[in-house]
Amino acid sequence: MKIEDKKLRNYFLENLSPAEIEEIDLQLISDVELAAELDAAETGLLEDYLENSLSVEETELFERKFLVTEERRKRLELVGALKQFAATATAPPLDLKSKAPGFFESLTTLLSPRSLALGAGVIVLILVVGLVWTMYRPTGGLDSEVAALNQTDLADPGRFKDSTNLALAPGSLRSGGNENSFEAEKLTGNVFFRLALTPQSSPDPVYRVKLLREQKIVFTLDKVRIYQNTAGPELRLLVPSRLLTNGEYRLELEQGAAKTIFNFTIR
Amino acid sequence: MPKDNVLTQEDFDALLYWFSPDREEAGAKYEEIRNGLIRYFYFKGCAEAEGLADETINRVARKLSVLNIDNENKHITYFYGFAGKIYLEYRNRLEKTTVEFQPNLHQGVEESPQRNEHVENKHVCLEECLAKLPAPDRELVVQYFSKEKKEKFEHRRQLAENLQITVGTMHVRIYRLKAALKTCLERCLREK
Repeated sequence: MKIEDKKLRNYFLENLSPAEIEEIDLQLISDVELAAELDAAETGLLEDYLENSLSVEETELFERKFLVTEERRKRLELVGALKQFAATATAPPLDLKSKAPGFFESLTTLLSPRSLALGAGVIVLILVVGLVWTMYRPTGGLDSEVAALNQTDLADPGRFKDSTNLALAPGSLRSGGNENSFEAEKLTGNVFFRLALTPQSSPDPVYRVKLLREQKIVFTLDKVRIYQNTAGPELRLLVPSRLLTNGEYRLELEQGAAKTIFNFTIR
Repeated sequence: MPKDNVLTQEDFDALLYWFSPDREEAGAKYEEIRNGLIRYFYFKGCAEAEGLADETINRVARKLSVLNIDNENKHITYFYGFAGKIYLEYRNRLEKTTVEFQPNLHQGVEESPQRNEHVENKHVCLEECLAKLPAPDRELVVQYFSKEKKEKFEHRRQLAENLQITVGTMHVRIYRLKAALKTCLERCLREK
């Protein structure tokens, strides 16, 4: 016998008559199928509480009658964590436009018929600017490669458990005790970086990321988004391990004028 | 554990015979009732649902000789009566040992290194446990919890439709997956 959802919710809130509670109790003991229905009702109640969707009266009953055991508080935490994880995991992936326009792309745009109309002088100027830009942009090819690599959806860290994971906090390594260095030979494939950010530092969830080795830029990546997890916001990044040879490294996260630095060593 | 949890072989045999003179059928009935009692205590929010179910069965078995058995009543009725009493005792024990719930305990909690470490561990464990699930199950859990408020109802209906199952069947899957995740999480957090 199917019991309506509202009644099941009121069962948890102890907002039914003793006879109605007994009816559900007895059915629960004898009917295995009611368990999934009750679980759905309980989960719905937990979700509504977390989403502030319960009425004042329901909230009062929830806190006074339902949330009376440690076990139920744990269930509330689990549902909260799952919702938070799921919201992050299903968020839109990295902005596909994050790849910085290459020199020739910029040039093609500028050499459109409309631009040509501006005259040869402008073209010469652009070529000069382009030449200078190319000369002083040390790793343009790497930028594109890393940008393409990071178009992967990084919402589910479980997908990268076979890669080397480096969890960094601003300043140094977050995991690994007092170590802030890593052996190059242990890095395999792509290294999965997880950079912990403080909640206050992320009003705009898009960063420009620079990796520097011995103070020289290895690559620059624009419009890198952050992910939310239960511990707070974090920026995730895939870096080919071949780029991480022995040396002192710095990851710089720029957001407007603000800069967050992550240092580490590869030995 | 209270002495009610101790059961003699004689009591147990009498209980099985009460279920059915056929030993195999009696065993099946015993399992059915025990599982039903575990569900009962679980949904009452008890942490030790299995232990409380066993305590209920043991008490019934110990009192069987003095119970006024009416063959018109189902076995379940007797167990339910004892289970209700044991649940009340459980709640009374909790009230004596538990601090009253404060709504802000789980939200806006004060930052501390220990709490941050706990939250971080929980986050890592959840990811590890989700990663252990087969991909379709993981995807189902993530999709199921991905929407909020009114939007989630239509989303879940669509989700079930895409999986070509009923919403009820989907709830059964979510129920089992959540139970597996909870067990995995608890084990993982103990090991951290």
